[in-house]
Amino acid sequence: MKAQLLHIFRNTPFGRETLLESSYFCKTLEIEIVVYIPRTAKFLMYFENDVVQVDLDRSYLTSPETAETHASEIIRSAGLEPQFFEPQDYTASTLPDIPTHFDYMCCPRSIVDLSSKIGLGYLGPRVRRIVNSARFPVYIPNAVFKVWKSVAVFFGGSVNGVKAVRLGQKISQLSGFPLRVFTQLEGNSREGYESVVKERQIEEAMENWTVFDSGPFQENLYEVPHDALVVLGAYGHGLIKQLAFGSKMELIQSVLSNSMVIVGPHCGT
Amino acid sequence: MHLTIEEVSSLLNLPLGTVQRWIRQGKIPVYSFEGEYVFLEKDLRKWAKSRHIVLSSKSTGTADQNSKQKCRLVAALQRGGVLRGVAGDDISSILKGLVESAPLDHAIDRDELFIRLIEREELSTTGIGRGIAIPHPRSPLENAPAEPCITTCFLDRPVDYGAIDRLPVFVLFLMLSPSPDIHLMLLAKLSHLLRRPSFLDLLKSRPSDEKLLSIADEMETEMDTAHRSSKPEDVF
Amino acid sequence: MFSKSKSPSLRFLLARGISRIDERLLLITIAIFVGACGGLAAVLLNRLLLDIQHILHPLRTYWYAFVLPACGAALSSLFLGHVVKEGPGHGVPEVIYSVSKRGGLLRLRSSFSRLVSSALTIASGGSAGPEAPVVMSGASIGSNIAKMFNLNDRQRVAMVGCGAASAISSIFNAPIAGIVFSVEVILGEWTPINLIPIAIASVIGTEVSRLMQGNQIPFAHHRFHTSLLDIVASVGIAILAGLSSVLFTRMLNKTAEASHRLVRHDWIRAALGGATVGFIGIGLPVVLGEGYDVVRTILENQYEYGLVLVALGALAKIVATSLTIGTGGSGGIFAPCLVIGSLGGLAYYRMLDFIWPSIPWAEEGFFAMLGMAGVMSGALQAPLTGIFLIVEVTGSYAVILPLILVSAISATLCHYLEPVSFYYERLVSRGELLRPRTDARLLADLSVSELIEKDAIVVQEDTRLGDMIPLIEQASRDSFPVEDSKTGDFLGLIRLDDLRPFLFNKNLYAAIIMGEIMDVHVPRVSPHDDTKAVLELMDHTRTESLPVVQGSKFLGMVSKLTILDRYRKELIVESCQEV
Repeated sequence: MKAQLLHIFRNTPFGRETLLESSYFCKTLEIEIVVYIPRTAKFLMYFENDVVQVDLDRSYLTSPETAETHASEIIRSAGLEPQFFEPQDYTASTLPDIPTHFDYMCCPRSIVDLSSKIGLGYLGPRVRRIVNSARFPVYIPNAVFKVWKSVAVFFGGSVNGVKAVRLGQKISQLSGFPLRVFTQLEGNSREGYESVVKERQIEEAMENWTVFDSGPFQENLYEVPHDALVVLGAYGHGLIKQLAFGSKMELIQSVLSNSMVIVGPHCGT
Repeated sequence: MHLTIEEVSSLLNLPLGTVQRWIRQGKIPVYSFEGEYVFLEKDLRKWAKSRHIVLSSKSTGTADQNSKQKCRLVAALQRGGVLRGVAGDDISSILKGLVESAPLDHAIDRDELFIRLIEREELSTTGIGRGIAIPHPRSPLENAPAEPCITTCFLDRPVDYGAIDRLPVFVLFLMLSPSPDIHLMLLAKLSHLLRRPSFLDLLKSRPSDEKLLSIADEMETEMDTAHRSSKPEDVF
Repeated sequence: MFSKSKSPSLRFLLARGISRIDERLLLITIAIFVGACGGLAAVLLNRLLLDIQHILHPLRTYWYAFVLPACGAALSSLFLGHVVKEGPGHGVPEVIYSVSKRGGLLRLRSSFSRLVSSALTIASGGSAGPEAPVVMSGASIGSNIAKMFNLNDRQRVAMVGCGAASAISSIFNAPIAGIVFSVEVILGEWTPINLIPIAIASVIGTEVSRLMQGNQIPFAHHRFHTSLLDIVASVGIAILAGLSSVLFTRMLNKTAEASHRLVRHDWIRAALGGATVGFIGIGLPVVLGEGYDVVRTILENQYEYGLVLVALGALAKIVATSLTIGTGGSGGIFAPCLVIGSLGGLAYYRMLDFIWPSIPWAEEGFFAMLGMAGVMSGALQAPLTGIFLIVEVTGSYAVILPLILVSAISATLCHYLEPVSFYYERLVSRGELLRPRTDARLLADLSVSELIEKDAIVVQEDTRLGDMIPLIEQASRDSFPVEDSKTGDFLGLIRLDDLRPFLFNKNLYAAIIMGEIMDVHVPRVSPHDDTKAVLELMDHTRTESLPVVQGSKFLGMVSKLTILDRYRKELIVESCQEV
């Protein structure tokens, strides 16, 4: 079965940009896109060990009559066949269940600054919970459609970091775009990372490996190409840092404008 | 012994998705270690036993491979050897002579074999026409050889065998196989060969052992490649 | 950062050691925790109710008191809809749905949201009970504690049961009723592995309640003296109770449906419902609130009103409850059942007394109790819960015989007239009530994607019959899907039976192509189809196997034989719970 990406469509110009992003992602990786046009402002996703309620912004319910046409147009213009998803199960009459068997899911960025609502719905903390529970990587697109031409992976040496490298490699192979790996040495030595690379047999992916051994992380991020798809693993570094997880992902997301793919702890490769 | 989820799903002969679901629902004993699921073989076997679930052996794959190897016709012909000058005027004496002279394993009871061959002939003749007969026991012998063997036997004088086309038989192929499957596979191959006029002519010329085996080898290889690319064959 | 500070095998042994702690012991330990929290939730709701009622009490004497239930209901609806963003709804069906289909996963917000919303609804005068909200809280607490410990579905469901049991036990000071309710209504199955943790949670919940609220029997009364005639009369009350339950259930559903059609906005609908209840309450104050004091008075044989008023009161309570709950107010039907039952029982007694005054009937309280048991068993269609609850809350084990009689008759009668109880109604209509180890449940677990077999040999529409021969020779199936040679789209299916008549006719080998004889109308299965539907389709079309097609691409075959084999395996692993 072909891989599928779930996209929740917002029938507004901002939603158009996100759908263009998703369509390009799917076209490049040759996966199918499945669109859900929300009829209610909330829905539930049941994962293995968690149920996440997603509360959407009212703007997601804009003009439902034209939503399907608009979405189909955008998807077809990217050269894909649109598929629409209708929920079958409902937990309550206004609370549909969205299944979680997809291979990727497109979640819009969190709103960092509430006053600038270029983000798309109050999804921030929910995105974190989805990433934590899902078996699929979460794709967080740019606010404005931009074609990406390379893949940039952040490798921190943890289990999720390795998964991110493997996913980055797969994306690079499928798309034909070059792969670069970035690591910030936070006081640890390079040998430590190299031994992990060897142990997990990901040497192939590390051909183009940039290691930052000095300078604050934010500033080093400038090295990441502006037209790269960023891939990183969530929950890299243990329980304490887990609580501070938001800051790592939010940091990258607030500094870089690239689209991102986040690999959570339950993702299989 | 640790097992991965893929190994377990192949042991249970179930798709990965089912095993994953059983883990989630708590129906199968598993440990979570560093984000991966790990099974202990001991616990799994105990669990399977209590539920009367049969675990397929891990070596099924290799067993199939082995049996495919065993089915090389030429190998069987080599093992069986070629006999000439077996005397006799009727089925019974021919078969008796064949059984006595054939290079069989010591463990095999020759009298028993003879009886079984006669039984099979009585059921239905093994003279399949054009002068060829393929005597064999109906079911494998108790001490059947692990490797199949086919003994080729050229008769000095063709004998009335009661074959289906009433022609006298001049060559016999005594077939001994460890299992019905292998017997059938070899029989299929042999009959393919025997249909070729060129092979038949070869047999009629009573070739030397080497020539027989080398031509058979050539033809078998040709047949195998043709079969794999599944072109329509000259079937009937 | 690097996870290998100890050697791998040592860490594994440690992890294994922890998981090895006997599952039962683990569940019992967590159940104690869940029981305590569930019990606390119930106590909290009770306190909230008491406090708010206390505050609002002086206002009831004013003429505009009818507005109070309206405000309460509206606030409750707004709170649920906009503050916690939880949908309106009774709550218990959601718990049962989650247990049925989702392995007991419940949202964390449900553990406290219903407590607040029902306190608002009931304390302001809405006709509902505090039990369903507290069940939902307890269940959600159990579910989320299970999540903390990373339990699997089966264990999590057990914890949900524990939470629900402890909540009911705590709010009624009735441990057995809690266990029975949890098992009979929420979980739907008795298994040894569930029973002990649930029992323990229930006991802990009760203890918490006793510690904080004192150990009293909610509806204590003096002994009843019963005779054989009373037992005979019980049949009458059973039938009356059964009919009342049916009326109650139907009215609840109709009101919910009608009000949803008529009024769009949730909080306006709730406010209107509340206002109507308020109006009724002016004339018949018995309908307001959860009504426990009414029940107490009746059981003490001290209820003053005559037959007509009492009967009217019962009917009014039915209407008021339907209005409160049907329009979106937050609350349960337990307490209203008790009130309706006791009023009904009282009316029955008065009638008996009127018709046969010479017979020394047992006191009013006796018939009231029977009425309560009857209406509860009927409305919930859970006779065991009804029996045990009444026995425990009235402390009257002595009258258990007529109680059993009444519960059984009422539940049966109710089931006959209205096969699906209020709790299950929505679930059953969508086919979502999946009790464990039922056919529906097992089939729901098996998804088509798990059943797909990919060993069919694919041919093209221009493949000739002659070319099929070697394929048939190698094939392990007798179906061959046909794909378009250019696009790869699935076109149709060839079955061996279709080829059989021509297989041995050499002359046709070059003459027939698969595109000509394939079945283009073969029904296709999608990978996301319901397995039950697939089986029905196979029965309908009398086929043993069908192609699975996604978009227009052939994915594999699904066969009845495989479904049967997997079904059996599911049944085996489901039944043997000892892991």
